[in-house]
Amino acid sequence: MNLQASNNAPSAAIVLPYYGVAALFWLASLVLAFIHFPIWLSHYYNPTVLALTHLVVLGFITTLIFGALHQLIPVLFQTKLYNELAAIITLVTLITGTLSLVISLYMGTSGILLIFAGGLLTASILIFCINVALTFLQKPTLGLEKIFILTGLFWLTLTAGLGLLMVLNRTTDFVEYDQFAFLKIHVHTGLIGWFLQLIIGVSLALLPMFFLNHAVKKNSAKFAYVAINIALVLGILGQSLQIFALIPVAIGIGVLGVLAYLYVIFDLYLHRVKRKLDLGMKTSMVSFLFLLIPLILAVLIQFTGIQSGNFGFSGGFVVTFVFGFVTTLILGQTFKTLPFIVWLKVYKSAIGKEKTPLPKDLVDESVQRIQSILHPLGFCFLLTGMVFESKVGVIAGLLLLLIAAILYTYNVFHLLLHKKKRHENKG
Amino acid sequence: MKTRDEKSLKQDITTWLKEVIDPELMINIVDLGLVYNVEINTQTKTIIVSHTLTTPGCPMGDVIQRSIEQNLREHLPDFVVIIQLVWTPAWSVDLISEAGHYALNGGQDAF
Repeated sequence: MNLQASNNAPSAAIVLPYYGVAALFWLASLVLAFIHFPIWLSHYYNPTVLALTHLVVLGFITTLIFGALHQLIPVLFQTKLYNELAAIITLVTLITGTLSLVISLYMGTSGILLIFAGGLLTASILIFCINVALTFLQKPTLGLEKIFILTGLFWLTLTAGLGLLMVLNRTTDFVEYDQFAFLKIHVHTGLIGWFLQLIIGVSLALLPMFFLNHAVKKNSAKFAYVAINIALVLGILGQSLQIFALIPVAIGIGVLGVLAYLYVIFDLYLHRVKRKLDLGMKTSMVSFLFLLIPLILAVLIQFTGIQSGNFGFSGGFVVTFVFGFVTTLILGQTFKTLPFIVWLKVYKSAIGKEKTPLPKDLVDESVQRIQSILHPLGFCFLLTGMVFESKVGVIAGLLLLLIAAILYTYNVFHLLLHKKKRHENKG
Repeated sequence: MKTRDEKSLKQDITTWLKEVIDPELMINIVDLGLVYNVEINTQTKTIIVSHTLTTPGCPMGDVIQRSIEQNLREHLPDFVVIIQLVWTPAWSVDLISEAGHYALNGGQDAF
């Protein structure tokens, strides 16, 4: 046999725990969110909101992204991961750091636990970024997808650094700064610099495969890259140097950049060769629609001054971006990627020798179907409740999101705990 | 010049390769247009399958190659099977068969 394709995939044992941990953190987030439902009708800067935010963005989203990237990067960079032990250390420090940070923020304390958390999280992120950078250097060829991902990791490092600075200053007060300005920068470098650009890079790699449409609008994607990063830089300068005239410029350019990205995605979707979409892709497309909401909010906040309720559109921007766009996308894409990783782990040795199930057969599709309806529905209820300050809306939304999270967690572990069995291929 | 045996064997191999499926697209690799050439030498008992993938970054490439090799070994245990992964000409959607397009458009899965 003369195999020319090399297999660079890392050991499933280092990737799969990320998915399990992320699912548990997501479930914990929704339990906490539901128990503390009044915070969704209050000001966004309070200890519980801070704790919940970091539980979601670090415990769920970043953990899952790190897991998926450990799997995707060897494929995308066409070389083996530089160090698999570093992947394990990354996860352990991420879990410990996240738990420490969330407990500290929740209790409103600012002592040694908070510093410990900040240090651990920064270390975790640095280890991950260095591992990716060294992997890249094994075969340093650039492409749009890689540029977005590597840029995202740069912004992640900056976000972590800002977070550590705020943590240290909270305890030791060694630098005088406007904490709200810093928080805004931290939020935007995290959401837009890290999450959004990482998602753009990964989606440019995966969606053409899933849609079977490789005609990516590269110029629009390049415009999105330039616009989003210029917007971030202008926003940071404006906020930190108090040149507030830069802020609307940053928002305008940033919105154009994101719209350019959405144009790329919807063009791929409209001209796809694979017309029949599975549940994971349908959920993902809903998330791209949801991405329009924070864009609209950003424009409303900046250019009209409209506010709504105590939480305000500022808090609403974060909620719609995280709960509307990012988590909906993750809930869809988990069941595009995780089944393959599990299937490879369990059935690779049996390929061609015996009948095996297909990767999609490993998922409990009926549960996934219910989850894919409840999560976006819950988000819509929650958003409506926040905008109209309706306790009923908020509770209904959180309940639906919580049920969806239970179903998601069940399905993730249903996959993770899958054992080998003989199957006839299903139609 | 191909013998009659080699011709009918090649047809059989093409049929057997329809048992190898791209697990993401749920279409067999023949209808997907991934199989570029099958060379058979009945005297040396050698089969060379030249195939491509939809994209160089296809994470299932190794799986597809193993499937091809195992599939043909199962049907022709006396033959040596050589798999060649090629990237030129580049794969395109024009290589998908009518049955493949039917499956992608929501019809019967082509496997």
